[in-house]
Amino acid sequence: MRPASGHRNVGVRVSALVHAEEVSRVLTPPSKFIKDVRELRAPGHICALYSSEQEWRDILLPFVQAGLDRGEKVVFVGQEAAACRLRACLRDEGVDLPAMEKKGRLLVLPLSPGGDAGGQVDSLREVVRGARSQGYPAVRVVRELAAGDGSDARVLGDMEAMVQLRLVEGEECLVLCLCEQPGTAAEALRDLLLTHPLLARDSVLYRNPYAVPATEYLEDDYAETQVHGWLSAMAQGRRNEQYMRFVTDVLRRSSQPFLAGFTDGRIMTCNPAFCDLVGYTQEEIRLMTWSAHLTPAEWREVERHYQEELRRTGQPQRYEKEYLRKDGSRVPVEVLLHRLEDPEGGFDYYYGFITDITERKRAEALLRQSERRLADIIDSLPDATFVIDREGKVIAWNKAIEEMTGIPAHQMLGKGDYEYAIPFYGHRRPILIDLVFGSQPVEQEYQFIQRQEGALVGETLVPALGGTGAILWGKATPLFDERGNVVGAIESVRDVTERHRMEAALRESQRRMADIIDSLPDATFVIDREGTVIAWNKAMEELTGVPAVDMVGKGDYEYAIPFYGERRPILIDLVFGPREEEKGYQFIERQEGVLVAETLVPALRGTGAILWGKATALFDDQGNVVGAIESVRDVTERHQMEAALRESERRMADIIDSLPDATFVIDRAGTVIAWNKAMEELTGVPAADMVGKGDYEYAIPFYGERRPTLVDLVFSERDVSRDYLFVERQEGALVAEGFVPALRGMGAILWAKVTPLYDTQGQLTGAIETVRDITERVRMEQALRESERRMADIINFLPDATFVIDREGKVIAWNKAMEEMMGVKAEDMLGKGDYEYAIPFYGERRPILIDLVFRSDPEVEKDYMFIQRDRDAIVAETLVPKIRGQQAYVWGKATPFYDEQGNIVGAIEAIRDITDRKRAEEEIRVLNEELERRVQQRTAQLEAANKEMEAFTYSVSHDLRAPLRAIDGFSRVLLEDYADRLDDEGRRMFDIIRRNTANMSQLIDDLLAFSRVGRKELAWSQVDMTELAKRALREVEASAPPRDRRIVIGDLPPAVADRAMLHQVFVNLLTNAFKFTAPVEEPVIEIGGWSEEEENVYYVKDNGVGFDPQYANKLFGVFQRLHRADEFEGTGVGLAIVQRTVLRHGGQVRAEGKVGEGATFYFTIPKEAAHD
Amino acid sequence: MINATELEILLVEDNPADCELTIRALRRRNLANRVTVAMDGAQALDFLFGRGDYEGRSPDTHPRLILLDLKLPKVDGLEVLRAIKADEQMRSIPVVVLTSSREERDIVESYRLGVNSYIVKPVDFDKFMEAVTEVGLYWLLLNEPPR
Repeated sequence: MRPASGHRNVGVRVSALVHAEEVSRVLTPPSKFIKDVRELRAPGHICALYSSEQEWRDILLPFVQAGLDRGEKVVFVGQEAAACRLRACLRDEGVDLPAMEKKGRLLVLPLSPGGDAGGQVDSLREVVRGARSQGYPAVRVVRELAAGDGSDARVLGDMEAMVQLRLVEGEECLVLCLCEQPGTAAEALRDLLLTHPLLARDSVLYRNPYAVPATEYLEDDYAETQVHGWLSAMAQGRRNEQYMRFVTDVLRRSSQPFLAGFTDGRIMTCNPAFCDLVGYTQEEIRLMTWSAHLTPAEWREVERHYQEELRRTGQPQRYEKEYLRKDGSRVPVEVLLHRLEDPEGGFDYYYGFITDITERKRAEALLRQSERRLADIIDSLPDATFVIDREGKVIAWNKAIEEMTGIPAHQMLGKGDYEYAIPFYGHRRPILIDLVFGSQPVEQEYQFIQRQEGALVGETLVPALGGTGAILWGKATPLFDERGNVVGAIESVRDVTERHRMEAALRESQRRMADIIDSLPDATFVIDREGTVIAWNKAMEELTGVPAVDMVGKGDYEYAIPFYGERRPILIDLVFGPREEEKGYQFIERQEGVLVAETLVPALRGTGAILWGKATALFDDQGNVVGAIESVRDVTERHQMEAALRESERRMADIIDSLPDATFVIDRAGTVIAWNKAMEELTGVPAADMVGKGDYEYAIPFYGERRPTLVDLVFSERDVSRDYLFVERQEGALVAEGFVPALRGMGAILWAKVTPLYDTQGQLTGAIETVRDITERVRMEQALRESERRMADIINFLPDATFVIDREGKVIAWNKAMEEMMGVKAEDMLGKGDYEYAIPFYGERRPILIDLVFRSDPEVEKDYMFIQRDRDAIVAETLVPKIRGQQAYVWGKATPFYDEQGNIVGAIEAIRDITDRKRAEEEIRVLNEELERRVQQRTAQLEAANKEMEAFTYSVSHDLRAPLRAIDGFSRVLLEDYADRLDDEGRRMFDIIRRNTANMSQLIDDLLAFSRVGRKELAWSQVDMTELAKRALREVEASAPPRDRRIVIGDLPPAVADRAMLHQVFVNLLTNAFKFTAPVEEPVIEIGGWSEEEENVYYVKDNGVGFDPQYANKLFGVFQRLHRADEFEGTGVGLAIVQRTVLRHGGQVRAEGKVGEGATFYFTIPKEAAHD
Repeated sequence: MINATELEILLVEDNPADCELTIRALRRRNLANRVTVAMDGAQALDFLFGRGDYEGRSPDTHPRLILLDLKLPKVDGLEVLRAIKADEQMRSIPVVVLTSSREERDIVESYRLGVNSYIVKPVDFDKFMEAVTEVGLYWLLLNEPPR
């Protein structure tokens, strides 16, 4: 910036100013200004020039007085002379100055000498803050500068700026800045004026109250223009106050650092972004010189260059430089420098927008690094490579191409005009790299050329290379700038001469390979990388019916048609990479580039078939896939076989699962492949936990550890004799019994059978083991053996000859008695079957009694006598011909015995030799028969006698009575007819005759009655003896002479007897009792009875005449009488009848008595009726 | 009605003493007017059926009462009884067994054959007379035979 001290004439054309409102304002009379001064409100600021005492008063006094009036604090900053003048004025106005100053309401700060504006402002800040804290509503500051003090407008400007920035902005403060009209150089005034527009930012309007006599210090056009510009700016600023605020705000807030400075190096302003950039505060920056403080020395010349350029051209300049930061570091920036100049030379300053280019610099550094590295890379590429720019100039030529062409880079770099074609073609011409920029006719020369994503790949013969020419493969790629413009191209070339030769050799080799493939037994075909069939062998022709000539050379999945009837990828295509079709295979496996699969191909032979296929990629020397080969086999039949096999295996698994015995199967590797339900139950291990397990897992449930078991003996022999109770080979199978300690926690004895499994080729493929828990059976067997041993002991010592056979007829016991009886030793008989036991009896094998236990056999039974069955036992006797060579009668008892289920498991027979007994019985029988015969004889005699007796008694009853009746009858007739002729003696004698006939008749009757008792059949019935006795008593009483008798009848036990006959017994006994008690004074008759164990006893007792006991045995004889007839009538038959009757009932009679002491007659009747 | 010409009683009795005593007893009651005596069973049957000595006698002339002893020569009393009761015409003639036998089998057999009364001849004369007269009175005077 141009120094303010630069001298120049300033002239203002006042006439130009009057048009503007601002000018009129400037020329406003002081009274209006004074009013404004009074009414200035915080924060506010007025800067005013004065040139007379009156003017000073007009400005200063109203301002101060308004402050004092409002209770504000007033600070006066100025020289002592001015302070004195202020005090004088205030005193004139009647202000109690000492009181005010004492209270501090009026403060005079001396203006520091030398114009230390910063210090002065700091002091003011202190005062203002203090006043604020003391409660003053505002602080009014008056600062006064006198031009005569040696200070100039610039000092005033600095002060204004600082007051503006540091005081007014931050505090509630009013400032009046007075400057004595200096009357100095117009430039000083101008500078002052010029500072104000900028300082006025964010403040109230300020104004100069005085009309400036332009001619006085604005004398030339330059000054006029400058003032005009200022005024215009003022006017513009006023009109666009909001816009100004906006612009300044934008600048303040912009992230783009902004700086404005004067041409003399002072900094006018900057925004916060700039502060951030350089690390200084705005206050610090404001006091700096941008050129000196912020720009490092080495950049000042550069900057000056651009400033000059700016000045020269008037164009904004963009250049890079560095700033020095507060912390001493540097920041690279790009400055866009503008200049704002008053054409009149009134003002001239720069402003610039600064960009931090640290990142760009870093990126540029990286780019340079990258480019250098790229160059290095290109240089180091193995392929011969060169780069041209858009103009065709060579800009890179790497080592490989140096070697290939023999031309060093430095000879080629920078060359254009197809120079690079010469090493290849021997002359200048477009080559592959040029085709990148556009099509050229030479494209047709290439044997092979292809565009790949903007790149060109081609092969051609270059005749000049190496003097002999070569086949080159080349790839050319365009190069782009950031905007996508083609800026060059790069080409890499390879000498593929050798490769081409190799390819030729390969084709030859492939042809040979085709021959080989043709001869392969498997149907085989080969495709190249593009899917073209290059081989289709004879077996394939046979399989598909498609001749090779129709297939070789075909692409587009032609080869799929014979199999699928359509074009589609098949197994061979999967070699090149996984595809969706892979899922279509029933089985597919990928191993190191080899694919093996099986699938159904529906079209083959029209019926479809299952094919096994193996496809392999074919590689070239470099390991690139160049094709694929596939061999297929028709495995339809094998599949059917396998399906059948699987079905068979499934059925087998079902069968194994359903086996009642616990069963498992292992394969040759010892892996469990079946573990059936019974096994699950036995071991508690589910099949799911066992199937698929190996390493002797199956031993754990049995042994609690992994170890070989019986099943492993199938695979390898080892000594197991100690592991098992017994081991035995049975037709290839192994059968064993042994103890397994872990089963069910307490161990068990198992029977196991292991059978090896073979495939159809006879190869051992596994083994199946079936186990049964025979713990209980073994225990039972032990118990049984013990029991049998005990039984054998018992049987052995049985006194009867005894033997036992089992259900099969084997002799299992043959006791000592048997040995003795038969003369056959037990050891010769035990264990023998087939009726061996019959031989000692019959001399031949035949069923005997014991066999009847198992089944009835009438033929066998015929040989036995007295066969009796007692429940399940059979008892019989027979005559056997052979016991010890002699016939013998034997008695035998055969009994089956049973198991727990009630099945007959054997039989036992005991035998006795009853020959002696039989003989005795026979004798008895003969005797009995003789006896019987005699009895019958006697009986017949008796019967005859009885009949005689009957006839006799019958005759007696008839024939003895008839004469009696005649005697009696005719003696009566005689008495009747001849009574008159008989005297008394005669009649007495007739009486005697008649009495005797009557007596005779009675005798006959009694005798007949007695006889009847002996002959009559007894009619048995239940008889109430008490009632019977009573009836008899009534009958006897009726026919007896009446008298007092004491008769006692007790309770007589009932009897089974012939009622009528017992009635007669009681009648006879009672008749006797009545008869023989007739002489006694008080006859007492007692009838009683009691029951004894086997018989009832009855008695009739009287107190009659009794009898002499020595004749008691005669009492019951027929016609035996103990009394004379004239004492007691009777025939002596009654008691005989009693005895006979009782005897016939099986009872007995007896009599007790003494002469004169009565008699008792007892009789007994058995409780069990005795039939005679 | 007593028809004088009509046979009143047939007495079958082999013992002349008993026969006389019986007739004597019947006579006392004037019941003996028309008593015919057969001395054995055969004679009794000849008489009844008009055979033998009684050839020509009409068998339709029935006695009103037959007094029959059991123990008879030739044909005994039970046979005679059986024959009478087996004859359709004669079975209605009252037959009274008058015998010495007290044997039960005689009594039972007689009743089985259809005898009308079974009287045991008492040895005592008075009783005998009484028994015979009562039988005669009953069967000849009181009993109303079927016509």
